[in-house]
This record gives sequence, C-alpha cells and structure tokens, in this order.
Amino acid sequence: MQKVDSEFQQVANITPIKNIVLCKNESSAKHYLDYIYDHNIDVIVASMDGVYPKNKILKDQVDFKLKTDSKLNVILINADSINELKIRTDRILVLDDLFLSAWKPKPYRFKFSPQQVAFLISAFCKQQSYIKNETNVTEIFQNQKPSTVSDKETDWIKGLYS
Amino acid sequence: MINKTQYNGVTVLFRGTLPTNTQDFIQDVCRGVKPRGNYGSVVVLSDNERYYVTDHFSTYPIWYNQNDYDFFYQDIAKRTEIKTKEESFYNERKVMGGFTVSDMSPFKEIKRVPIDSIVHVKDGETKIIKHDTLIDSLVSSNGVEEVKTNFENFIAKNCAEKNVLFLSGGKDSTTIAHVVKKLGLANKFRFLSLWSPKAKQHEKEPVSRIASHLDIPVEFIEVEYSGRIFDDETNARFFDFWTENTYSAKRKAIMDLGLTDSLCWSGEVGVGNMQSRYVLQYYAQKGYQKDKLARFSVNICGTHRRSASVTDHALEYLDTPTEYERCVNHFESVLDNFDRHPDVINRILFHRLKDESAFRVYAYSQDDKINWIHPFTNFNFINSCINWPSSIKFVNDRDKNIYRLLWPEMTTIPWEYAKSGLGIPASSKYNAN
Repeated sequence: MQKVDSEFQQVANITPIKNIVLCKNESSAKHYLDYIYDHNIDVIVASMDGVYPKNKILKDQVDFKLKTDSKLNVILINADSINELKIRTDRILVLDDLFLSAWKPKPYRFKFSPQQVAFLISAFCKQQSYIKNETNVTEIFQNQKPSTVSDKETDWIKGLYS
Repeated sequence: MINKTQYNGVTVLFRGTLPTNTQDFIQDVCRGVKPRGNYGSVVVLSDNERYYVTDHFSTYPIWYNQNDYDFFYQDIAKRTEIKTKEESFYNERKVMGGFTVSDMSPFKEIKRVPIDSIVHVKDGETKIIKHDTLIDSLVSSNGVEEVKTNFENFIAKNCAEKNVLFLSGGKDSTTIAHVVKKLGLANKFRFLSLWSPKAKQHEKEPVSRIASHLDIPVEFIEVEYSGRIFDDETNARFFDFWTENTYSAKRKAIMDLGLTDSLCWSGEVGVGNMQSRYVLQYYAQKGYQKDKLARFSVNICGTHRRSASVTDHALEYLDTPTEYERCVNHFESVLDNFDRHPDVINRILFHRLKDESAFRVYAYSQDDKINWIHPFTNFNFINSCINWPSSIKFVNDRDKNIYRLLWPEMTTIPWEYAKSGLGIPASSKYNAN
C-alpha cells in the first residue's frame, strides 16, 4: 500500500496538464469530481481554497501552470474564484452565465446534464486542434449524419455548413 | 511473403521471423510455450492437428474456421460459403470491417486467432491458449546499452538493399532515421515525407530541419487527400474508403513511385504510450480504479473514439450493449492480469497497448503488395519500454523520453513541435474536392 501511495504522489510529476477546471472551493470541486469529471477525464480539477487537487505534487504543478502557461485551457466555475489570481493564459471559458441560464426560468436557457457540461468543456479544450487541423466538418454535416440520431430539431444546423 | 520450413514431418508456415530454429519452435509450441518474437505461424502436425500462433501484437494475423486457415482475411473470406447471399461480398464495410470478425457478420464462422495466443486444433476440437508476454511480474532490469544494441542489430539485420522510411517530423520516425544514419545505412534508404497543400498546416518545417540535421536527402510527396486512394481493385477488396489514412497515404506514395520492391519501414507503436495524459490524470486524481479504466479503454476507441469518459454513458447510444460489455470485461481481465506487475503507472499506461497496437499494424499486415516492417514492435524493445520503471519515461512534461535515454545524441527537434498527426485531409466519400 505504501508503494501505491508513493506512486500516487509521484504520478503528478509525469502528468501532463493542458486543461484545468477551476472551482471556488472544496465543496464545488468535489461536486464537479463526483458529477461531471468521469464524463471527461481530460482535465485537472482545482479549487481556489487550495484543497484540490488533493495530490500535493499535482497541486504544485497546477499552481505553476496557472501562473506560467500561456497555452493552458482554463474552465472557470464561479468567476469570483480568480479575483486574487493572475492567470497567464487567455484561453478561459467562464461557465457561470451558461449555468445561470439553466438555473433561471427565462428564454434561451440551456438545460445542462453533467454529460453535456463535460462535452462542452471537451469541445472548448479541442478548439486549437480544430483551428490547426483538417476536420472535414462540411462533408460530415452534408452527408454523414448517423441515422440513429437523426431528428428534425437538429437538421437546421446543416445550413450553417452548406 | 509466407515462408515454409519443415522438421521431422511437421510443416511450419510463417510470416515474419521465427525466433528459434524449427525444431525448438515446434517443441515449444506443442508444449504450450509461446516463443517470443515477431511472427505469425501455422504449425501443421497432420491433416487433423494444427497450431496457430500469433505474436504480442498479432503483427501477422491468422484467420481460421472449422477446416481452413489463412494469413490474409480476404483470401479465407473468398473461400467461405456466405450464408447471407444478399450481402454484398466486397463492398459492405460492416461485413469486411477488418481486424476482427463480428458475431453479427455473415462471415462469423471465420475466427481471428487472438493476439498473443496459441490456438490448437485437433480432430475438430479447438483450444485457445491466451498468453500475456508483454507485461512482466518484475520491473525490467534490461540495461539501456543492451536494449539499444539489440534494436540497432534488429535494424541492421533487417535492412534490405532498397528501403523506404517515411519521415513525419515525429519522435518515432526520427529515431529510426537517426539509427539508420548512425549505422551507415542511409545510402540504402529513400526518405519520403507526405504532405498536403490542402492542409492548414503540414510537417515540412520539422522534417526539413531533421533531414538537414541528419544530413539525409528527403523527398516531399504531395498527397492532396488521403482516404479512398487505392486502385479500384484494392478498394473493391477492402472498403469503400479506408479507415487508416496514414497507412493508405503511405501506400499510395509507394505505388505511385514504383517502390514496391523496397522494404518499407514504419514507426508504428513507438515506445507504447497511447493517450497517456488521460489515464495519468485520472490516476492522479481518483486513484487506481480498474473498472473505470476498462470503460475508458472502450470509450476512447472504436465507436466512441476520443470520448474521454470512464462511465457507461455510451451505452445509451449503442445498439450493441452486449458487445460493449464484452469489451469492458476484456480490459478488466487485462488489468487483473497486470496486477502481477509492481509498477501501477505501467499498468495503467499499457493495459490497452496490445489491442491498440494490433489495430494499428493490422492494415499493413493485410497488404500483399508491399513488404512493411515495424521495428518498434521488436519484442525486446517494446517489452523493455513497458517494464522499465515508469519514472524514466517522462521528463519535464515531455513524453517518449526513452528515445533520449537510448540515444542521447539524437536531435531534440521532434520535441519542439506539438503532435499533429498526418496533416492530410481525409477524402470525402461523396466529394473529394
């Protein structure tokens, strides 16, 4: 067990960090880890009170990345979290307005499930790949819609890629 | 490309290289011991008794049914009586699918010998003995010099009079080029690099810098689109369009340049790291959870490739839940078997290596026009990569550090660029332009 604990700490030394979900405090980060994280594991979850990541070495790596990495993707839950923090990157997705729209009964609201939030974050983190590489996205929208998810509510999207 | 040897009335058919002499090979296989090496082999003891043997990545796959076997799927499929006559033989992608034969396929009586296995057929009875030769119960004590020498000897021994190496600007192909140059074999190689004027970005810059550093000539081959680029006959034999664009684009270049008489080297598999960031992050935050890792391994590949989920949410979108669970159970079983290895990080890094690598080299294995070789699948090399302590494999957030460990004099240019994959747009099935 001691050996495993040691490796659990050491793994942080070799874990590449490209995407960080930043929550305000311990309970928010725990909630994210419990409800959303398993649907997209390609992020590190941190809390501004310093409790998460619980892996000490990983926490230090996160702090370093936030301060120095200009290519880091940061997903912010509760913008109040960064009042005191200087983040090096400009690649920041603030989810608060989207979550507020889901919470309040008003027009144009999103009804997010944990899976959909995870996917939204995944799409944000993949933006650079879409910008730099070929996607064949036009051909996909014009010709390749899988029949299993065909429905009239989403067919309108095709017009954007005509 | 299928070789034959005999000993004492027993015939051994094989692709690749038998790791021992014929007599010892036959004795080992008949005792259930699987010799380690790079080969696919059929040992024919009599009309009623055979052994089919695949290596750790099934580099040379074997298919079989009740009375027949073959190294090439399309050939055994041709000899198979199709029960569902209305299915189009060649053009139904879901039927030809490749790699494995689904239980839903009309060809389901054709079975693929599992990766890293021995199948014993005797008097109509079939016994499958699965091995796990890649992961060891101890962290490897193989010396760096020993592994380096072995790998260099492998390249020197297999180098033909005419060779082709594709340079992608990445770490794997650069390492092979470095070793080729170091061994004084560069004059036997043509170094090719594929690129597309249609791509938003391409690898000309890193490849040019690497070639200049190594002082080797490189030819840039323009490929507008990859995808459906085989000749009509080959397209008809396989699929409407190909799924492994790296392979198909390379193949087109070889055919167009008339280099089919050359041995073609690939950098497939590399040091075995695949999607390592995901599993390392998960382990660092949630610990070692085999059931979750097993689900991730299914979600990240196949139907839901690049879904970085460890849940079974994918099931809501699948009409094959039994197949999904079968795949999850497979990876749980692999992880159970990996328990014997002491380095937990190695377990999580490499538990899907065997399946992913077998998939990667599959397309090459079914090419009967071009002779391909994948030096990183060399058993000694990949076995060491897997079983060496995980702590040496990543340095300063840079992966594939093993190459730097083995050849510290090697150029660092590939580490300066983010991995981009082959920058050639896939051909549309409907509209190539």
